[in-house]
Amino acid sequence: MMTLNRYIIYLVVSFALLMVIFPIYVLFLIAFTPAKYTVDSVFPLLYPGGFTLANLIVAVKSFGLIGPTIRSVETATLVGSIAVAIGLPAAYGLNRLPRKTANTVTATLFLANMLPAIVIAIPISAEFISFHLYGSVIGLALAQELVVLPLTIFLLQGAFSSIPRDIEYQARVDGAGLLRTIFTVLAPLAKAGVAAAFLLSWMISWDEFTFAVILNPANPTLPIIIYINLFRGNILASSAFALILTVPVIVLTAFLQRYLKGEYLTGGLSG
Amino acid sequence: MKWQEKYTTFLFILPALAYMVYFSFFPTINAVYQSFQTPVSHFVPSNYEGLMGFGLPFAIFNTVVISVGALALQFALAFIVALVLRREFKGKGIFSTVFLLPFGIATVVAAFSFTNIFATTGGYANSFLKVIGLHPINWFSNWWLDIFTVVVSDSWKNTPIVTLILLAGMGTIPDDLYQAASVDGANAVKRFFHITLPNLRNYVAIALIIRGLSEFNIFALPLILLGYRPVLLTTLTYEFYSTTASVYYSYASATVLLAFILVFFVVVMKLRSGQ
Amino acid sequence: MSKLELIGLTKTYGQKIVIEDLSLKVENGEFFVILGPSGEGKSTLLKIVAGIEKPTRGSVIIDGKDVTELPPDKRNIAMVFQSFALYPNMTVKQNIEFPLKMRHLSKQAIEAKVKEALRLFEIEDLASSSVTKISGGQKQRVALARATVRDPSLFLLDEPLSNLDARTRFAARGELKRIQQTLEQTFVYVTHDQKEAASLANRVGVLHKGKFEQVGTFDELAQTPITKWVGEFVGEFPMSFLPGSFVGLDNNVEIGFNPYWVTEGDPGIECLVESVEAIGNDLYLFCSVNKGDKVIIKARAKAQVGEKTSFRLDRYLVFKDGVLISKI
Ligand SMILES: Nc1ncnc2c1ncn2[C@@H]1O[C@H](COP(=O)(O)OP(=O)(O)OP(=O)(O)O)[C@@H](O)[C@H]1O
Ligand SMILES: [Mg+2]
Repeated sequence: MMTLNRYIIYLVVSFALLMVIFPIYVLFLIAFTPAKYTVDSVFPLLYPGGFTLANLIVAVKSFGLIGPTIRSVETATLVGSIAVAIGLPAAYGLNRLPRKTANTVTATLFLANMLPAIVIAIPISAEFISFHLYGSVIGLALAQELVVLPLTIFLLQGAFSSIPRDIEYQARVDGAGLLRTIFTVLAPLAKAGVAAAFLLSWMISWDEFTFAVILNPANPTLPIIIYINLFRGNILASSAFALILTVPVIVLTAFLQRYLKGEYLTGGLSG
Repeated sequence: MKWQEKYTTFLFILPALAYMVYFSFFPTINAVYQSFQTPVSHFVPSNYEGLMGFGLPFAIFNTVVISVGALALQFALAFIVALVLRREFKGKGIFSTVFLLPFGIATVVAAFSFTNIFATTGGYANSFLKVIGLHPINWFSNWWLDIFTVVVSDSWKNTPIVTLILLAGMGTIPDDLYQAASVDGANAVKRFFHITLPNLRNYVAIALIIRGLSEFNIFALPLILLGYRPVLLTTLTYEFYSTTASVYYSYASATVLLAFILVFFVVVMKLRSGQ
Repeated sequence: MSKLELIGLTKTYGQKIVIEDLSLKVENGEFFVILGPSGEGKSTLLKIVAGIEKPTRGSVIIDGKDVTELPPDKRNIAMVFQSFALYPNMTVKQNIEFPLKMRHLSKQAIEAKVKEALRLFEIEDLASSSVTKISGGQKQRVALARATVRDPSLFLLDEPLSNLDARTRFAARGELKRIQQTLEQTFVYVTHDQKEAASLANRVGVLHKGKFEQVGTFDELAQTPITKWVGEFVGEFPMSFLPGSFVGLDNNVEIGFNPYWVTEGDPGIECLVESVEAIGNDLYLFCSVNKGDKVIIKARAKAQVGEKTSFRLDRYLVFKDGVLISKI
């Protein structure tokens, strides 16, 4: 491998860490220090000037924190569940199809995934209005599913393909039907992959902006409420929302690190 | 495991496939179709002509500049970090976990932080400049700086995924290739350009497609950082949609965006397959 | 009524023909061994019987019922895979219970049967261990216990001993025979191991080029192979072949003989000893006749590499175009 000098490595690492952490640090700074040290001063302090929970308390009390949070949780959970429910059989099926057919399906999924959210969202919004889905959690979840489903399928495909075929055959011979084999034998064996697929979908939905802003502006999820408050100049309120949006994601990212591998994220494309 | 189950297997895929196709292709075709409609006439280019007056060429130009700039910055940074992550060093585990964080952090949150970093008054970038004895800057005072802030913020959020993909690619290059090259007298820089890069073609192409498509679609970040000006294809589309001045204009602008994405996709695929 | 009947089975993968127009009857209580070298389609054939693969043509009949179109779970068969295919997320006991649970037996019935199986295979102590933490021999017992715990019409075993070390394999072979005799069930058993075939089988079918080249007892196959290929493949040593002229026949026929069909030392065919192998109390000589043809013969006395010797043929078989035409 490259003979990089040890010092260069640590230089790069420290610089990268600084760059990565600084914006997150700014978020915590604004959320937890009195406004006079942050947004209300011309040159805000680069270190914490004090500590306060007042910003958060005000946000909770006067900016309706609960509604968007619940809506975001509901949407993300629905997106994750649908992704696993539809993605699991699809991933199994893709592994069983002849190579050529499977590649065509994968390509189609990817192509569909490639179409821009903003292009899709506008016609869908008209469609949803007529189906009474506009502004609903279910409608938003259905739309966000477009973003996560192919990724979920690729991830689950990887998880399934590491289970030996004999196990599946054995289950069939032992008297389990096809669906039963998939859900009672294979899925438990792939449970780490299934969990990762669910959590990744959950996280993507949790962060999703485009569909949410176009389909649910009146019933905003957390990302949208942050946008709205920023737009109105309520920086402190949006810092509280941003904090709520970020904390679970930091935990999840650390937890999912094992699955956030290039191999998975590139799906079936690297072949 | 064949016979009826051959069809069963396909039935398993069908919901996912049908769902993706129905909810992606159908609305997309609809958008393209609508872009040639007006309340009074059908199949006319008048929406596009109208858009010209609302800065369509400038939107295209800005979108391309931001995409190219962001891709260049992300790939440069990602290569450096990926090369570092290929080495063993103390604290590597923690570093890679922390380095990944922006991947999970919502674009809106990134936009929140960078809004506060680049704010003209009360901005952390200016605080920093002042501490090191430089003059504060109005970060949104000209086009260059507008583009710069978006490119930087976007790269903060998206460099990790590019790094991950490049890292996966580097993992597939056998070590003995490097050993052979060093025996042949290639230094680190030569090895990077003659072994690492050529062997990463596929992965670079994938990362380019994944990121490139998202760059053309970049939306929340410029919307929050810049508002509607300087205009991008996405913000232009959204502006016409949300203000409902003419939803047909937004279809037209969306169609232009789509065309760019398709062209980009085809070009990268061609580059990937040809030499 | 035969237990298992295969009629005109053909299996192709694309252009590749793996099984071609194969027919077979296996009787109730029989231990039938499918013997063949690697890649001849033994596993494929077993998977067709199990319903895991569908034949391109032909039918599979179990207990007089055509099951060709039935999936594996509807066929009432038990199977043991080469890899044992134990469910890694379950304990030994849960593995053995699984096929019973799939058949919706009552709790008490399951409990009783599992207990019996654990006892039969002497793995009571392992009942609650994870199957990932037990030895190869123990895994094999668990796999067999899982297969035998219910009453299938048919047992299919695909090289169930090949993952075991030599000692365990020997013990397991005896065990398998004992189990089959206790259960009085029908076994179809795939292997490429001659010893397993010799010691376990009532009948052996030698698979070659997608067909059974010969079906019979192991002794029949070893003593009277109906083709040269079977002669070369079956038996502890391959049969030796020489042109017909050595025994005064036409040169368009070949004669074949086993090592112990000769009297070494008697005048007859001259040969040069190239290597010597001792098996038990017996010595076998690998010789070349006329430099070209290699033969294996049983020695009467000690012999040295490089020595010249000769042998007389007591018995031999005559093959024409690779097919047996007479026995002398
Ligand atoms: N799904 C498949 N697609 C294409 N060819 C296959 C497939 N399964 C098996 N084959 C081919 O069929 C032939 C027979 O395979 P099979 O596994 O039945 O052999 P085998 O006799 O069991 O060998 P072994 O003793 O090594 O287990 C092989 O040449 C194999 O390559
Ligand atoms: Mg086999």
